[in-house]
Amino acid sequence: MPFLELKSINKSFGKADKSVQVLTDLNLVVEKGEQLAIMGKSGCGKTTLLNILAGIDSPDSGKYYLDGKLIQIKSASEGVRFRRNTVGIVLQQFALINDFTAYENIELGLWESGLSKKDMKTQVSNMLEKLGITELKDKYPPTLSGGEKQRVAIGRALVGNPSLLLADEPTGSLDAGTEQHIISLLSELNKESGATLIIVTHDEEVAQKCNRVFHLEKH
Amino acid sequence: MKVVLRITTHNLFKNMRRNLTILLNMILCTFVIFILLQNYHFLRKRHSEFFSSGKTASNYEVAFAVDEDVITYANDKLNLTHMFLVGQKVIEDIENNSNLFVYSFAGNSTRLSGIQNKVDLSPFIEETMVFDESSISNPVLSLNAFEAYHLKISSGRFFTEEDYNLESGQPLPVILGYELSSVFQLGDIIEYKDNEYSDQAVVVGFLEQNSGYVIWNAYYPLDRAILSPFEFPRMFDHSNEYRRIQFIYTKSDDVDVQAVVNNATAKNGFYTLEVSPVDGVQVTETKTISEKNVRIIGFLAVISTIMCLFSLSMILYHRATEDLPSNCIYLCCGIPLWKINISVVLEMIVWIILSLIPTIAISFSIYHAVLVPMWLLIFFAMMITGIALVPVFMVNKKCNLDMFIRERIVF
Repeated sequence: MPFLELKSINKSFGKADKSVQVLTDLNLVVEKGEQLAIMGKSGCGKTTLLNILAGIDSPDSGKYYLDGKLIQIKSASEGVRFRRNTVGIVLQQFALINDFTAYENIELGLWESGLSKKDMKTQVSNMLEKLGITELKDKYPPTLSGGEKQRVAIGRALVGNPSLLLADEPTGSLDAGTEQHIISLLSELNKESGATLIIVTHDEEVAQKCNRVFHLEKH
Repeated sequence: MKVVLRITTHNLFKNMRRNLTILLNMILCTFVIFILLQNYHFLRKRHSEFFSSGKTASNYEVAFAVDEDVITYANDKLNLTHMFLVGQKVIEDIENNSNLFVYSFAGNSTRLSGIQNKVDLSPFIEETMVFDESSISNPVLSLNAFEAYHLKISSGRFFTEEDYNLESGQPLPVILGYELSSVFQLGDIIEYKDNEYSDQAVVVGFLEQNSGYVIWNAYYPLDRAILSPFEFPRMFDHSNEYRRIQFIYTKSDDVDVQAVVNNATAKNGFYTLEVSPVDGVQVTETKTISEKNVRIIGFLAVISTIMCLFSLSMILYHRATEDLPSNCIYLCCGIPLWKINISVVLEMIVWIILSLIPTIAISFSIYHAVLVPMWLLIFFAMMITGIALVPVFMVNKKCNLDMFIRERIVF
């Protein structure tokens, strides 16, 4: 049984007469621990697909299985529950809280884990070490570089040991050198944790680093 | 709950300047609510509930009667209403006027049968004052009454402040009329005991011969009287008595006592107190400025409350808009929206509590009590805050992660 499976997924936006079909009869199978890159032109539905995978959006029809379970998200709160400890999200714009230190931003990924303060501290410290940013733990995002911010964001997404890590253009705001470093780091950490990594990107170099590339066509 | 508390703490401390604006706004809001509630109570009560007409009193020189109902009898703890507390403030203001002073007097009598000392007091029954044939006159005077009645001491001393603040078990100090010096001496203890009460008094002074006072145009001699700070025997605990006015005394004819009283009542939003001189001359017409003030202040308070509500909701709305990306991050991390909303409510409760402090402090410093029921103040503050929070919840509901991921909600 595959870890993730999408069967005949359809998704459109807008009202009946002016609706735009974004995903049509989409089928996708991803194995556990696989690193998959989703590529495609603007407007082909990459982010929509990512949103469906993250439980942010629901397909109009079709089935989404994760770890053998049928995922049916009917409300925003169900989506939140689904993401909690299951899905980690890394975004292009880093999505860090500027009033939180790097440590606190990573710790945020554990707030809903039910762990004790001590266990949280251990996990966050380990993650900071893995990311090589222990010395930055007390710094606030506005004082960090783009690469450092993205490391913090990756740390937050992975600290709760999610089984699925979704990254939307994770290197889109970074320079070439930093981009390579971040992708390598993401790949390494992913292998270490055994999570399944799905990266949405339009960058060929990023896609080549993954095990497999899935091309989305625009309809 | 931990998550809610962490978000609440974060909200409380993350932007002090903005939070200070919220706090100041809420302090103003609470204060205005306080004024509004206070005035509402004033307008609900009718004059007649506190003051009865036709109660006038006099003094030998210049005396005025101020209502007796509210001030003389409101020392009953059950009557500790907001109006009573304002009345206390009015009295304090009148007392603080250097041109006059207030005092009280109460005619009382002590049963001879209760006095246990081996002395014959039957010759001292004072027919003009006694309530039955077996009693002796026992006028209860406040400290200032001695000066108002021009009473002089032949031996011993006058009453002091301490005599009006006796601790439980202390004998009641008494000053005796001149004729009683034939049976008692300074320092003598007068024992009282009957079926109901048991008390002790200590003789601290004797009045000069032919002492007396004029009240209600009649002369009352005091040569056979027992003067005391409280009734003898004491029938209840006087330790928690409140300030009261029965008479106002002024040494100078130039002082417009009615004007002084009007100023005190107007300043505190209290109802008009009518004062009457002993000689029967009509005083200037009393003004109803107090009630007008209450209505005007009440109207202004309503306007201010609306403005405060609008201002508070605008601040909170802008803050919620600024916090939208942070809230989207919370949602991304699996923190549900209801926890974010509850943290905002908790935060506002903290601001409400803090905002109550200045109002309570002001009320205490002026009236020595919270004039408006606390629960009512908190209820209205929460209601205003609740209304101001509606736009916040509406903004938070817009936490759309799809829009956030597509960068349509930006930092």
